[in-house]
Amino acid sequence: MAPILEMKNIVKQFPGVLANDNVNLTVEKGSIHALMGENGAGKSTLMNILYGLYAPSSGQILFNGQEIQITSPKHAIEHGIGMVHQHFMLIPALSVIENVILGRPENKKVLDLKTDAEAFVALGARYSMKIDPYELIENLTVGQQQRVEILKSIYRGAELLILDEPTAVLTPQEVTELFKIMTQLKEEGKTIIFISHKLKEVLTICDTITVLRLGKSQPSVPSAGTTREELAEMMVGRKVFLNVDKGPYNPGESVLKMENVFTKGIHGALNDVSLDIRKGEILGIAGVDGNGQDALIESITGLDKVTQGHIFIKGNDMTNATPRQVLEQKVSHIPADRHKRGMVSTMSIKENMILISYYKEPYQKFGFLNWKFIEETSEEIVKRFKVKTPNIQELGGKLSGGNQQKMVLGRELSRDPDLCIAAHPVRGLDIGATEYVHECLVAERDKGNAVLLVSTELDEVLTLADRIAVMYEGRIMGILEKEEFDITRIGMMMAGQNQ
Amino acid sequence: MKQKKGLIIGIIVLVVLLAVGFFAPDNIKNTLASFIAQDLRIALPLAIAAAGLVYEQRSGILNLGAEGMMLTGALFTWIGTSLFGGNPWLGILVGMSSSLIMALLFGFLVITLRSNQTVIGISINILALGLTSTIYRVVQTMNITVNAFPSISDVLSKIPGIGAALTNEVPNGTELALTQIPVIGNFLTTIFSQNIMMYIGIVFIFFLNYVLFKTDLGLKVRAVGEYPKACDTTGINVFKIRYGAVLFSGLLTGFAGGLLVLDIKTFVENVTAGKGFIAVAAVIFGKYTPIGAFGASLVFGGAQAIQYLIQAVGLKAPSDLMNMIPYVVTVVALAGFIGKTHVPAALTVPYTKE
Ligand SMILES: Nc1ncnc2c1ncn2[C@@H]1O[C@H](COP(=O)(O)OP(=O)(O)OP(=O)(O)O)[C@@H](O)[C@H]1O
Ligand SMILES: [Mg+2]
Repeated sequence: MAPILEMKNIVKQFPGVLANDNVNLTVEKGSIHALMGENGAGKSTLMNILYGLYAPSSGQILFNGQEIQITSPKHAIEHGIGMVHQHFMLIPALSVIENVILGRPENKKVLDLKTDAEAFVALGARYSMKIDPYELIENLTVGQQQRVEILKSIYRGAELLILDEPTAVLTPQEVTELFKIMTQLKEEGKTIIFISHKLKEVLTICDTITVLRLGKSQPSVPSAGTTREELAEMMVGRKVFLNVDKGPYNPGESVLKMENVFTKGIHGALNDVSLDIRKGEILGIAGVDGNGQDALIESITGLDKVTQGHIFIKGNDMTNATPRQVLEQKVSHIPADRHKRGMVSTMSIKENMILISYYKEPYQKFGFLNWKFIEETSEEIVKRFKVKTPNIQELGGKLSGGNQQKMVLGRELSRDPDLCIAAHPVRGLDIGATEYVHECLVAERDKGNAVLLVSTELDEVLTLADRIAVMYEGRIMGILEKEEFDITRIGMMMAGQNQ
Repeated sequence: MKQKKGLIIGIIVLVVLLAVGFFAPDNIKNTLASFIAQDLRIALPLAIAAAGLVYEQRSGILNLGAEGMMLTGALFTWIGTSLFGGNPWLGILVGMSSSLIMALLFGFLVITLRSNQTVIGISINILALGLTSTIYRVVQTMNITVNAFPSISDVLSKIPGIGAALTNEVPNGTELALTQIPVIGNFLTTIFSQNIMMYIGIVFIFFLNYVLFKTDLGLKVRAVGEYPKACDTTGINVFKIRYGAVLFSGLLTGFAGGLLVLDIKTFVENVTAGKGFIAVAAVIFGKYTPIGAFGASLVFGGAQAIQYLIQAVGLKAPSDLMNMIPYVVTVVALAGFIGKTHVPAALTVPYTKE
């Protein structure tokens, strides 16, 4: 088969960052091609170049054997290249069908939404996707939005589809759905470039794998015959331990105690939740996304009102305390939505580092910020958590997705918490960083601190947690001790069944 | 759904008006009719300016310089009218060109140079106030005659064939044949006796509403003000759309300023007296739609027209207090409404490509 795409010697220089350094990528027609690499390795940059969003500093792109210049997404779309971005490019206030046809050159002056909506629904049906074309994007779940993005690209005639970390925000069920669609697209002769940090996914669904390391491309390998360990080593350049070592389990006194907590909830309600997390343990919260995990965290951190019940932190009644009061109990919070709750994109890294502590000494004195101290601590955190950035003056929003997460994590873990609340802490992180974060969380536990870990990745919860609470529709279905860990049993509880 | 609510309110208002027209005693009928006519006259410039501002804000640009652009348009309409021997059509074109230049400056600063929209908007107002006052002092000795736009009855009477049926000859011109309708004839005539621009303007506002929500261009404008980066990825030129919206809005604010001058047939310093800001308020109160902004303008216009109503019924109130009414209504309306409507997500956020 002839390659549909050849990218040759692509170089992209950002101010202070060489994001792509002579990258070569060849993609066969009708294949699913994985692009892997650590956070900041340059994957998104390379794909943005292919999609015409960034202009390469130098290099050549051949599409179907012919050299083409892609200076804007318009050209990319004309050539049949579609992209689903790491952060979705959908307009929440507009309807599905308005988003789908937005900016299409073939649109009539007076829109004919009805015809497009019918054609779009028919296209969705072909991939067993049911989508209401007149629903507003803001009312869709993340998984549904992603399906709209994929269909949108296909509707506009994409032959080559770029999926930038599509599975990072999906539940396991949604991932299965996505893979079905990808397989069907492949059978229809379409080509897919798939970016993911999850080794298992890549080895299941992809034909060929190209790894980027520090902006350079490594020779491609077929996924058949490659092992997870080999792949991990290619990415990080050293052996990676895919398992975590934990010290012995010696839980101490209670750090967080929830007694029959109810909330009305902005994001779903809590229904009679009781929990107890002790020193020196990791309590994992398992459950399908949207079953009250957000509400649980919001009630503890003072972001949502508790209507009934009590929350104690280290014995103090913190029911309906303000977020600052909670944080001052040495609670740290790694939020699920980092853009909304974890960081300010338009602020520099060093400013992001003090979002929680700016009012305390020695960060400030007499109301004046102590920049020297702030810069020193920021430098230290950036170094310790390997945030890839030219300097700490860089805006938070300019960091690659994974590095933004590391920045938030670094800030929260370096506050020396007694209780660490971590929601999807490795979302979007590469395996090297995932390993590091897992080590950090276990280190907190081994130091005798309490960790509340919320994750939709069952594997993650199973390896890290000492006890697992399963949530379903705002309730705790049960709390399992280590010896009771059993995938089928947890799976049934996640679906709301309890024997 | 949202638009249905507006429609229902509109229908209720119409029914009430007709009921008054049919059944109320003559003096109430006359007062109400002249109140409505007055309200429409005050509302039209506000609504035209607001319609342009709706497009501008929908594209992500907050133009607080509308007041200044309106003022510039007013002055140059006045000058232009005299240059063209009192012709209001050519005069208002001159006014629109002047505000277009202002808009071009504004657009260059906030779109290309990405300056802060609030700061630039306020600066435009200060610039315009100084500029118009200075130029006015130079030219005020000129002998300026301003003719108004022709009235609807004058225009209709000239239509061959049906003109005579639609209008009546009266001693000093024409009047609408509506007078012949029994019971509510006079009531309707008072309301509908407007100049031709009132009719053109209202049709235009409905047309703009249609364009914004039913056409490809309108969709692009709405999208650019929400998430410009996403628009970029679908191949839309964000800068082009934003410039287009700013310039178009500039034309309409100048036009609105011109209407003020043509209504009172002269220019005075600061003739706009905050109407540009009230137009910005009408955008918000009207939920960022041209028709909504028109409705809001009628509310604000009504607040001003009510002064005449109060005088007409012979109520004695200090004039300073009465002059406050429109501004108080604006503040109250906004206080009740702000935050309850969806504001374009990228409003006031400059766009950078990389
Ligand atoms: N617009 C930009 N301006 C400056 N630097 C940038 C910009 N976009 C990306 N970079 C830098 O380029 C490098 C590569 O970033 P890129 O987003 O391509 O990484 P990635 O491989 O997609 O990582 P991740 O897995 O975390 O998403 C990073 O160091 C990042 O900080
Ligand atoms: Mg990326």
